[in-house]
Amino acid sequence: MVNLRAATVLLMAAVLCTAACRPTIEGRASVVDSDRVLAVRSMPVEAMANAPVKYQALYVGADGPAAAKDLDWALCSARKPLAAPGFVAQACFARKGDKLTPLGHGDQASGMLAKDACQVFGPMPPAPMKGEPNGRAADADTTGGYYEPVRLLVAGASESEDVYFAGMSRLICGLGGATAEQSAQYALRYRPNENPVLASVVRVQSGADVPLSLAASSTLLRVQPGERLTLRASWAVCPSKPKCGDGICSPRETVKDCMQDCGVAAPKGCTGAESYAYLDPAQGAVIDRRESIRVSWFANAGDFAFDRTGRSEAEASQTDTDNDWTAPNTQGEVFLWVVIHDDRGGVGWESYKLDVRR
Amino acid sequence: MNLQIRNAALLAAVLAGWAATSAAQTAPATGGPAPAARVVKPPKLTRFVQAEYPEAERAAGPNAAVVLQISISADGKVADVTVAQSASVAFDDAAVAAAKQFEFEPAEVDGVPVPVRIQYRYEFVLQAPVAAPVPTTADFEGTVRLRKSGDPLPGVVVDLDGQTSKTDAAGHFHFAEVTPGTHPVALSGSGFTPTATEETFEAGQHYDATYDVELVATMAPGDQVDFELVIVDTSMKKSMAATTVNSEQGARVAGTGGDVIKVVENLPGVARSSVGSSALVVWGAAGTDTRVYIDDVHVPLLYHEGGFRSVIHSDLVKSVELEPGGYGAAHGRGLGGLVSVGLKPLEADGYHGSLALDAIDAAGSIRGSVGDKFRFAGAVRRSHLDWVLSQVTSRDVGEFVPIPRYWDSQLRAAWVPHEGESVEVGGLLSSDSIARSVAETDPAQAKRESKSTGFERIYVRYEKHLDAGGVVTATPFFGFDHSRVASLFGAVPAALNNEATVYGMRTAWTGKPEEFVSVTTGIDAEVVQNDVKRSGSITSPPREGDIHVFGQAPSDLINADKWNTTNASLAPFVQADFSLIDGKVHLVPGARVEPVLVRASRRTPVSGSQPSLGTMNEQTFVEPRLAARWAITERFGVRAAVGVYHQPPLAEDLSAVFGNPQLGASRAVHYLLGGNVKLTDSLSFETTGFLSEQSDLATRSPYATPIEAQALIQKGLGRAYGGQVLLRQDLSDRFFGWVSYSIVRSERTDGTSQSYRPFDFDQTHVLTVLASYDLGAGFETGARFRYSTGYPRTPVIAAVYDSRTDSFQPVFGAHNSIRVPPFYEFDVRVSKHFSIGNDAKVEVYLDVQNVTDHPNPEEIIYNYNFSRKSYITGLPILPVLGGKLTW
Repeated sequence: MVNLRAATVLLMAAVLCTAACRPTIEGRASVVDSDRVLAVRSMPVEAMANAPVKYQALYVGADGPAAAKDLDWALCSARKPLAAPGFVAQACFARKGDKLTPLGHGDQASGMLAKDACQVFGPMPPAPMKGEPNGRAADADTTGGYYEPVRLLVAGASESEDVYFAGMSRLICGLGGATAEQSAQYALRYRPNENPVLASVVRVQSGADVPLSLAASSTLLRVQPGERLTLRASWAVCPSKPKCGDGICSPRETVKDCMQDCGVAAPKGCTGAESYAYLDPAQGAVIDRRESIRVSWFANAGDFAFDRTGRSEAEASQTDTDNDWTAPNTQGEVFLWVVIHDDRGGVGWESYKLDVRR
Repeated sequence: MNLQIRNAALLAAVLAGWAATSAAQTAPATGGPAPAARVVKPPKLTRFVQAEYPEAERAAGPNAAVVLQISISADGKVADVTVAQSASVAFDDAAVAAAKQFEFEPAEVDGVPVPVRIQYRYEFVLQAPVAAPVPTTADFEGTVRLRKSGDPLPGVVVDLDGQTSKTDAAGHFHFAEVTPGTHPVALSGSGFTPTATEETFEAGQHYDATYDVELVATMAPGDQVDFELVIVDTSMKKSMAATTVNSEQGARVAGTGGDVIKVVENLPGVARSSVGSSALVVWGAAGTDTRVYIDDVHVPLLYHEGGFRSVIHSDLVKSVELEPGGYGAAHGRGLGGLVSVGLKPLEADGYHGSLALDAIDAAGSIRGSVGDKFRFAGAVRRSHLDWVLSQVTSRDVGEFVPIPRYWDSQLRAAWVPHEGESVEVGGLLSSDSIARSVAETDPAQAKRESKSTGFERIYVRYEKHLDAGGVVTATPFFGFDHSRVASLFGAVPAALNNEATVYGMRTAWTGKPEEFVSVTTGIDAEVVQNDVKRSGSITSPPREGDIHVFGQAPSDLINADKWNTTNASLAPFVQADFSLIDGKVHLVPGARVEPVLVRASRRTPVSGSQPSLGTMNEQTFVEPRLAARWAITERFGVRAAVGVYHQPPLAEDLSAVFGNPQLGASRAVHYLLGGNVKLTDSLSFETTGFLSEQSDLATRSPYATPIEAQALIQKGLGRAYGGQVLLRQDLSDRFFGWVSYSIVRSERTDGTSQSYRPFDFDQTHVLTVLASYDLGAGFETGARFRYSTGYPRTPVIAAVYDSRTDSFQPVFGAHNSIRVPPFYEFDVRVSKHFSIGNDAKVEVYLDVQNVTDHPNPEEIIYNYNFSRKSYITGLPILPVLGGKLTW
């Protein structure tokens, strides 16, 4: 006789397995076993068209920092086709082309954003073709931002061996398709983004947390081979309510209300989860939002429990995130890189070094 | 010489028997009216009086025949006899005199005796006496029955090597003196495909044979006063490439869980749906291109989410028919196939019902009648898979698996004021919902999604069978469709709400103005008003042709729009079926005029305070259709069809932001050519080759800066071509099954400058082998094997790191140039029937999908930088234990 309960359980297990048995594929983002760019930072992170910007890359390899002279920088003025996959036009990933403006080599570069960046990448309709109506403006990202890409190339022996990376500068372009009132509100309340900064990365332990030693430090934090560490990355606390005099020009503060924070000379942002004004396309209203923060963890040895951790917009009041790292069983120095991202294109990082020794 | 009057043909009774049984057995005509739900009992001759052979006619010849019209009263007495076809005055008088002495059991409709008028052919045969007293001949009698029900079939002409006999009301025939030897035996009638066999006789022996045949006719009775039973020529309703499965067989197919409509997935020309999908891909057409009708009511779905069940209870289903293409003028608005679910006629035969339960859902149905004129049926089903899962696991499985929750309900009530006339009011409801959330430490990888779909329909169906044999139907319907999808992948939202109000009406008249031609004409009207709201990435959800990687975050470039549309069409259609060369050739021309009016509320995206300006697009299409078939022999036939089809744009595509509000209708031309061979009485082989050319398809704009409000452009082309074969063993001696194989190549091009690439849902090879066997003692077993080519996918050949999103962006190779590995699966089903008393029975079944636990790849997934790939596999072994109580 059929055991109904057993059959049911079998059914359930089968159904569960349908999705839960997603295979694990080799390769972890947090493991640095070859030369790669872990992050690209634009400074300032948000700028107007035709404004000067500087770029910096975190380029590392299995043995630590990589030879940055290999990095070939170029600004790209190609717009990705509307429904093409990815975030950057494929035309940007070439050694040279009419859409590429070379910026030089090294771990840093500088250049000028395109004059027509807000038309090519932003909310301004692109110039129409002759005899045709307006072209379609670009869509904004989930934070209302528009971006001009910068391409990084590590050239291989042949073009097929080239490796590409991309960074972005966020554009200050205003709003597209908004009413005059929405545009006015937005202009009044929007504050350009600030690159986030890691306030600290510590080893969490009973008693007092221990800061990790920076890669340049001569004294390294020592850990046992195979030891499991809980690491905590933290960032600045950003005010949820405006407070004149805190050095941060928040969306609800203006020059008129608080010259001290919002004066022309010092419209300062926050290096944590900032507040910002956002035109919600579904609601058609300008609302206040908070950035989410993501922390990416990398090491050239050992294992992180998670490749990335962070705090969503709903958790913006929390300013730290934990991850576990298990030291390798072999002794030696290990590089850890911790990269912090906000969701408006801001990037910051720190490099650490640990001494894995018995 | 000895005079003998050969047993005459009781034509009308034959027709009555045919009609009554066929009405209960055959599929509804494609798009045509379903027969009335009545139990018709023909009159039965209880006292036969032999006519005297007129002496005056002996010199004229040995044989003569008189066709009489006999009016039979409600008490079975002969009320009147007239001559319809004269042989001579003497023969006529003799025949009338004899017929007036006949006595009958009266004809009945739903158990009520009714007066009828029948035709009676009285044959006078002059034969020489048999001199030899020693038996030199054999005695041969037998019964002709309906294959599916076993009911006797009257009126069948049994031809024994030139001699003929027609079966009586009990399906019985008799040949008294048969010359020994092997003789061909042929069965024919205007209601079924002629069949033939051979029998060997020995002198002095008695032979009793049983022949099971299958009918294809429908009934169109007149009123009770002048009860004439007329066979409506069904030839024009026979589709060119349709495959019909009746409910009894469909429910016994392994892997369907007893769901009749799930059998559609096993028919030739149908691609296998991926796990969790309810889409129906027929002959390489998109799922939205295939229209689904429940009787004459258009519904948006055939299956619930996940594809576990269909949206209508099997107890209400009489048959399900799939026409992959080349269908007639009665239907349109779809570039793909046509699925017609025929509902069982409501009958006044007491109260019946069922209760069913398995691990997936529970269902119940009931039908009955109040008096003779009011009949009703209802059914309801609700899933409980989510609840069952919660009982066997402590984990919130919803975090991992999108468990569908669904319910559906149907209610039907019919009023039958007269036989041949009925009014039915019905309601069809279906609802699905899926919700899940996946927590992640990385806020960009957290996922939350919910989906709700459903429809509601209310319809009124009027049907009247005309005295002349015609049928008139009118089915107005009204309802709502809704689809609400909301997801959040990290911070990237995707929401699409589509609320539709549907008004529709189908009217049709089917008649036979001349002996050789049948005509169906009518109007197919539909108005759909949509309110649509969408936000998110333009490529989320992806549409056909979008290059994407399963499981990857959608683009975070988002937008939003809110718009409404109206899509209206009132299409007159006409179709004729010319029966030529003794019915061996049928030529079926038809035409449909489809005026399409498409209105969108917004021509351009919202821009500041600028008021919205709508757009309206009116197109009128003439859609010629032509089909032909030729029965070259009794067992071998060929057929061909060509037709033009148009499909209005989807409301979702008429957005000024996400689509193009000025899209027009897409177009397809179907060509098909096929043949069929009846290998034995129950074994048939069919093959069809086809070509479908599609144009004016809505596709993505390939430009980096498309013109405003033209995110979609109407430059897409498509083509699907291939062939299918079906070797089918109908139910015979406890066994049925079929082998279907389709080879299909479906391709698309997104613009005139691009070459063709495989359609996203192209499956080149699809093979299905299934069988069911009645083991006896209430046990049945069945098995199914399926093989299909994997879906095309676009390979990832490199990846680029994007610092802003801290993710890798795939670089793709040639569009749809690789495939997911092939799928194959073996399913089995075992069931046991128990009788409870005289009126109830219980069925317990175990339906096991993927018995071999073969890990079928369903999708390709990649690691973080796309340097390695693997596959998500589909259902492992999936046993479903269930039971059903029927009374």
